[in-house]
Amino acid sequence: MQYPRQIRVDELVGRLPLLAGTLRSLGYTVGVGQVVEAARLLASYASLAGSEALGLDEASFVLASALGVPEDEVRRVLEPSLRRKALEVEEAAKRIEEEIWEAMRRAGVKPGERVSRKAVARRGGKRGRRERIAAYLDLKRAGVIKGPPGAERVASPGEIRGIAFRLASAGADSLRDALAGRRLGFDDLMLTIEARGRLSREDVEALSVKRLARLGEWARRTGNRAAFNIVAEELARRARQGARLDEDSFGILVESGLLTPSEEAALIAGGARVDPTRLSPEEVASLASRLPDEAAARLVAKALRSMKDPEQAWRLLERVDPGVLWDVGRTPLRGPEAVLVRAAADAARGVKEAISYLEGRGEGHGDMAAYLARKALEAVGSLPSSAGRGRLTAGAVEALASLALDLVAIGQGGVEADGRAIADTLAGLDYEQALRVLRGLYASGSGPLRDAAVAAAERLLEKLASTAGSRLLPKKVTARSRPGRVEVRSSTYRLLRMAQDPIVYKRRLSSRELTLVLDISGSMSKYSVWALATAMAFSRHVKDLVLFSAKASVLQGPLDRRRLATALLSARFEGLTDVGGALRAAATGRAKRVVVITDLKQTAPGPALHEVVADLRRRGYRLLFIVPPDHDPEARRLVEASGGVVRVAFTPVDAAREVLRALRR
Amino acid sequence: MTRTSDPIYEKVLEVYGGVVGSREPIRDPGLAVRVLEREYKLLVDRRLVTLVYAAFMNGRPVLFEGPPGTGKTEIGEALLELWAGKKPFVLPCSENYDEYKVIGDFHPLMAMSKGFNEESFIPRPLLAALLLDTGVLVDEIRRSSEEFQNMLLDIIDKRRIIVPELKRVFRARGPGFQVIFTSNPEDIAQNELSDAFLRRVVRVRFSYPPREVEARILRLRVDGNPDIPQGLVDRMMSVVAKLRRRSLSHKPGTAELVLWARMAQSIARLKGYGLVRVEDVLEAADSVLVKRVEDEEAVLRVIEEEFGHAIPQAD
Repeated sequence: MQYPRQIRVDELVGRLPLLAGTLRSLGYTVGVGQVVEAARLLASYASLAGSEALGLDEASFVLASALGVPEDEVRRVLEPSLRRKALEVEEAAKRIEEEIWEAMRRAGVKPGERVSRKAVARRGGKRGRRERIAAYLDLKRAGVIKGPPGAERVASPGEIRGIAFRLASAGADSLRDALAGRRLGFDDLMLTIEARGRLSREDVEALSVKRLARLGEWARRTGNRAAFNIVAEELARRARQGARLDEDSFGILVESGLLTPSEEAALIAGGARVDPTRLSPEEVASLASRLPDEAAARLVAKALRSMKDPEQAWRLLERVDPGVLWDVGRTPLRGPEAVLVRAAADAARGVKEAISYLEGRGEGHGDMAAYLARKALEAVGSLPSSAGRGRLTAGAVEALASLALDLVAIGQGGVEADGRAIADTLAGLDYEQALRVLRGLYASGSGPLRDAAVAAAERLLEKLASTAGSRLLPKKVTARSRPGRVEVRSSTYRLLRMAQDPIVYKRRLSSRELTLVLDISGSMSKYSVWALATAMAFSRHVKDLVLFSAKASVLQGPLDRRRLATALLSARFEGLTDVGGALRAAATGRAKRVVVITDLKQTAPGPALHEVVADLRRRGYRLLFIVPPDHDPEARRLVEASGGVVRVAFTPVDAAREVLRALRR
Repeated sequence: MTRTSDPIYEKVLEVYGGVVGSREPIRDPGLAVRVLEREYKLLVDRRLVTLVYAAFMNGRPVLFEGPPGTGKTEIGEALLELWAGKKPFVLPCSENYDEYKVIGDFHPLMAMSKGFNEESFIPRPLLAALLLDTGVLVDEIRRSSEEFQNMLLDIIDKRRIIVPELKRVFRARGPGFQVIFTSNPEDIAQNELSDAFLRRVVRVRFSYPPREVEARILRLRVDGNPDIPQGLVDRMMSVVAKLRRRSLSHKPGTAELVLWARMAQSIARLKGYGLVRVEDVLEAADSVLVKRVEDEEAVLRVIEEEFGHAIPQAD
């Protein structure tokens, strides 16, 4: 098969991204920077050679050197695209021309004729209208019908031949091939789908989330299950990459069942709106249990507002933690039940106010917390002790109100400055809330109270490490290659139950050395605390720990719980995050592998994140970023282009697992 | 060379100025190929020269990879010299190479008495190359540590060297400062090059040349005094080709073939012959082709197969 001996350099450069993509699919690592440098090298080479075009051998030689790939592999990938430039283009052009004429016959149009969509639709009556419109739209996409609405015209025979040749030169084998890359406007797309009666994956890839939701709604309305599934799969793919979903698109996802429960929870926490009226009370309760406090409270309150049946409301209330009822307003309940729910809401709000008070936001919060707690206790006091059911009982509300009062007492110095006592009081809160309280105490207290806060934080971390951290570690590891101590119990079990090699060895978990960089600001603190818990299991191997929000503090390993607790409590939050600065601080040289937990949202003035990443990569550091679903997608693209690896963790537990994976060999 | 008031530059000129020499730079690849053949006795593919020059134009370092004896070092030096118009510096790498050995360090006694300043500073070849606008050939880069490689890449990328003790930043004075690395990827005793390094360089693979090219190289680099009969040359090339197909720890490159021919000529000359004979070739083979003890038997067998004679043993 003949092909031109030379290919123009600008055309070669234009094919580079495709070439790079093909090489990557063959397993070669080709970075974006390398592709850019390869383009420059090609241009310089051609200029030195005094030619605007290069032969296949020469082009392969240059690209192989620039990309670090064997020359024959490059030639193998390049050759087909050069080969097209010959007889095959002629044949393909002829084929495409015939298909264009066939499409014109189906649409009922002639060369040079003035047309419009309405006219084509009306031609020949209702029979075959869909087919005519589909053919008309294909001709529009191919460029055979051109012009503004009201002045559209079909191309002449000579123009048709030119269009066919152009499409063939661009690499199309047929008209369908050529149209595969061409996008329609949304209304035209809907028409095409209706005309065709089906949706393909290529159709949805370029649509926005909003339009996808419209398409999904259409599919649901017309009972087109296949189309609905395609839309749902595309939405799920985008959601996993961090796209924001509106209520309609999230509803489609929930209905499709494509997301795991933790993914659903994380998306909601990240801002996806959910319509609780579409869920049963049990489903709302289950979802709320996986959400952070604020999101859970909003969801439960919204669900209760929309309910009319008291029994339905109870099915929800008996399953949720009373602590998330602080946002509840209107409910369908009456009488003592309503009193109990109002008291629970007051007690839960009291706890929130107490936390705000201990964070140092002012005495007013403490007063409000005490007032609400007492009001709740008074209301509960008037109810029989058996009032309520499930998790919402008079006793539970009393305990919540007492917690609020105990928290206020800590702030007022009414509780002895003892780490254990404070830790016991805070046991009623989740880890994030407990840390917020302790930070507040550390910042506002002095001497004994500060020490007590640090001691309480230590106990908190210990508890977290022993429950959360160790939960993620494998229970046992079987290894055949490197014998060590025998696990007698497992070996005996295997011998009795299975006719396999019964000997099970214990293997020590070995790990790499790394630097851990944790964003402890705002919503990232929960991820970071979990990551910390798992890292504690390998404290010897964490060479440096960097905690950051607007400023970074570096703790040299091995991790000491007291120093860690002090660092956690003393870290300042100024509402800003400087990821680039934290990375710079992490480049201590003690470990070349750096794991960062952050949402990539650089809000503080500092070095550009992708520049820092590129600089560290050049210096031999390997960077792994673990991000939540609502991370900054633009920053992620830049970080990946600069050589960083990014993994999305839907929950703090997922993040902890990624850290574990990075630590372990 | 112009004199300036910079004491470091003065020192560099004084120590290294005479070494680098000067000639007209040649930046046209076609002309460079002819000059390489005529003056350096090197047969180099025009594409290779064009590629290396294209890399230099973009400020990219070049990595020559290939088995020993394929001309990486010699061609690299020649190209750097033609590009810059001055002889390049050659840095033979080792594990202990660090910035002090290549950029500069301070004389201990002078530093103690006069402090860390320009007077006590001793510039080394990399800094000299930067200031004299000439190239650097870093030989066997895999022998060095990853930190050293990253340091070099940083210097090449930014075309400057910082010496914190002197509070000075030295910048490249022209396009002559270019770097070529050489590496033998088959030597498992050396370190692997990191991905980060490999992505930053333009890689050129060297391999054993085809037979007709190798024959041309031999004719170019071996004079006819005394002449080697063509039949003997063919058998020598067959021996080398066979040895390359064996799994030896050291395979002969083109350089060894050339050396073998020259040694045979020297032996013939010493004996007063006007033509190289089989005995001369066989005598030279032992010292040139047998590099490792474990390869000896295999090499001798191939020679015996090809020549029908064993290598004569010394009395």
